[in-house]
Amino acid sequence: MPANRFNGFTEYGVGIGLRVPHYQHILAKKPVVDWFEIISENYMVDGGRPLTVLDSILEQYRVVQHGVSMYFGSSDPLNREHLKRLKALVRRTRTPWLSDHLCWGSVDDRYTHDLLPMPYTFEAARLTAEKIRQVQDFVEVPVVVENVSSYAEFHVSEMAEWEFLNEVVERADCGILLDVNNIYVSSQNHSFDPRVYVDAVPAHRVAQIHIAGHSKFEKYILDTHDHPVLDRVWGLYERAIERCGPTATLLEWDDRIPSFNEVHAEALKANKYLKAATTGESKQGNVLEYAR
Amino acid sequence: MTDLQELQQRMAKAVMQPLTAREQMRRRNSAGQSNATEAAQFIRPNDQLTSFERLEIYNRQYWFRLFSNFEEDFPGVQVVVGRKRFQALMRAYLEAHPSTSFSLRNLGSQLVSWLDKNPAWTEPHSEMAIEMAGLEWAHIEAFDNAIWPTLSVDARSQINAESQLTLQPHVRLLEAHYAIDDALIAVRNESGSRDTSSNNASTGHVSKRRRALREMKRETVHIAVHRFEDTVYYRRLAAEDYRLLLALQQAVTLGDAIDIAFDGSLVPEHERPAYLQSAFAYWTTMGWFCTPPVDREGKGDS
Amino acid sequence: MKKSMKSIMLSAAVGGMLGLPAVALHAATPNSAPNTVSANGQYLGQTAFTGLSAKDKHSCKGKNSCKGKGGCKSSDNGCKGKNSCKGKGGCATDGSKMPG
Repeated sequence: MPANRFNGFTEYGVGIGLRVPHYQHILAKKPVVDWFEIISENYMVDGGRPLTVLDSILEQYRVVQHGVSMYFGSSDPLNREHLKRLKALVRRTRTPWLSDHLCWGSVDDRYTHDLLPMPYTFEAARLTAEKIRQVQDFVEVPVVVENVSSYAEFHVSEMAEWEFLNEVVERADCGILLDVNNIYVSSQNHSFDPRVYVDAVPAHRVAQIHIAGHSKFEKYILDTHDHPVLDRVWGLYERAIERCGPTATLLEWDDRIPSFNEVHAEALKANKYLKAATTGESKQGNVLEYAR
Repeated sequence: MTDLQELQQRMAKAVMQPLTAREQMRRRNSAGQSNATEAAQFIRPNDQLTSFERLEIYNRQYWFRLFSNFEEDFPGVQVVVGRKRFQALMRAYLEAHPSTSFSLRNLGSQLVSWLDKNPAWTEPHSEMAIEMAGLEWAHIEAFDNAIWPTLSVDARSQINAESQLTLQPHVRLLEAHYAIDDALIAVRNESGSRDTSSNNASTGHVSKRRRALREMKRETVHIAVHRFEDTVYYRRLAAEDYRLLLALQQAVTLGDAIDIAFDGSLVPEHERPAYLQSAFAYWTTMGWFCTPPVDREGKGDS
Repeated sequence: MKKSMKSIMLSAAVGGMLGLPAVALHAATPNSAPNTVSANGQYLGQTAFTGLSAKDKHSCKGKNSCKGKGGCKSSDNGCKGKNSCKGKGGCATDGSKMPG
């Protein structure tokens, strides 16, 4: 299960997002890290320090690309310049798979730079799947799609989010980057049981898992990536690992970023669950704690 | 038009509409329609939030993301015009020029031309503000623009008066009427040290810096913003250097560029050959002359 | 400009690019030191060549966040990792609370 065709038959363990405040530490101390995830767009430039640092990282670490603006769900056609730059970066990093979000964010060539939620309709699923296939054909590595945190739902939706995800990945025949924090955030914002979501995901398509922290506001939760992972999200993670097996796991920490060691230590907490899955131990007690 | 496209255009229009002064979603859109009514048309409310409030999360998120990126890119302009006016300027610019790039790196690409056409946002410091914006944009370009292969010895030995030389894409040339390079370095130094100082102290520093900046005496400066070993530098140029490099950048032939460089120059005529030799030796050592990709296959690279 | 002078200047420029000594160019000043420019861009003569000089002002100092292999101790634009998928917003005016 962990090594599958959607993650290039790799077993990557626990990684963290490569972030600028950690560059110096990583290059100087060369800490042992299973892998790094990069935000593709931050390295889709023509030269300079971003690429120099990336090349140094690539000499010593495994790197996987994660995009934030392909917008598979946008009704606009794919941006050729974006695709060309993405493919050049894929060749540079030799990423075994490539992820981006199941969302939209641009229309009529205007970019919001946000991950806007999809209307869960069959029309949207068909178009989104078609664009995922086009990207996959172009970049020539497996493409996996990530479920996003959302704060709004549409009247026109014809199915639940997880049903939409399944519809898209089946049509596109692509993998899933399962973000359990996003599932938790959306479950709180839209009043559904996050475990139903996790249990509905086709486990054989899960190429990677994201964990992250979020911020709770009075009436909603925002996916801010500026905190440690909450226990309830760890609970969902445990359930996902039980279903999918030990899967490449990545901690995202994007704001108020603490030291490298602190971020890495937080990510490595995932090992407890990965080992339990390997040895067949169950921590059912934690898994069942999904109270709101 | 598909239903999906229609929905996305509708939502994008709502998300990208300006916020109120209190950073909230406006009650009415630009057409005078109620945003609450509009939101209710396509967004489902829940037991915690109305359709309007759910849409407002995205409306605010859109602007907050653009604001933080724009502020990060143009700290010098902010000091020139002052924080309050910068906020207004930023909103007006981003409203006029929403992002058309997949990367936030390009958010400020139109700022100089926009400021040029809209001096009201920067008066009475328009000239300094535009030049500072130019320097800050040049910095962004110098930071991650390409480095192409330098001209080979063979290619250099074949250069004549009719040759067109290509400058590295990371070399950006500016003429300004204030020492904006020194000013921006000071602003960056302070914003670096401000991270560890108290808010009151930093506010004091900013006002002091703003005063000092606005009192800068007028002087013509020429600057090459360039990258060396992955670090961006600001290099002062002689007027002759600037005119020569700018002409080359504009595809003027070498012979004509030399004429342009020394038109009205105070450099004595007998010193000009040595002047040129020295200048070209430096620029060559820095790798500023290069072979653009389109020529790579046809010509030998060093 | 006289044609012969133009030709000497052109040879000087090309010679500079080829690293030739100035004497080979029949130039008036027999050295290849870099030109010195005053703060306002006035030509002042020549100084010893050292590659990057004081004229190349480090455009970025202060923050350590961008220290990388290139050695820039800077707040260089673009070094921030501008694109990300974090959520933004939720300032304190709407009664924000930290995760509980």
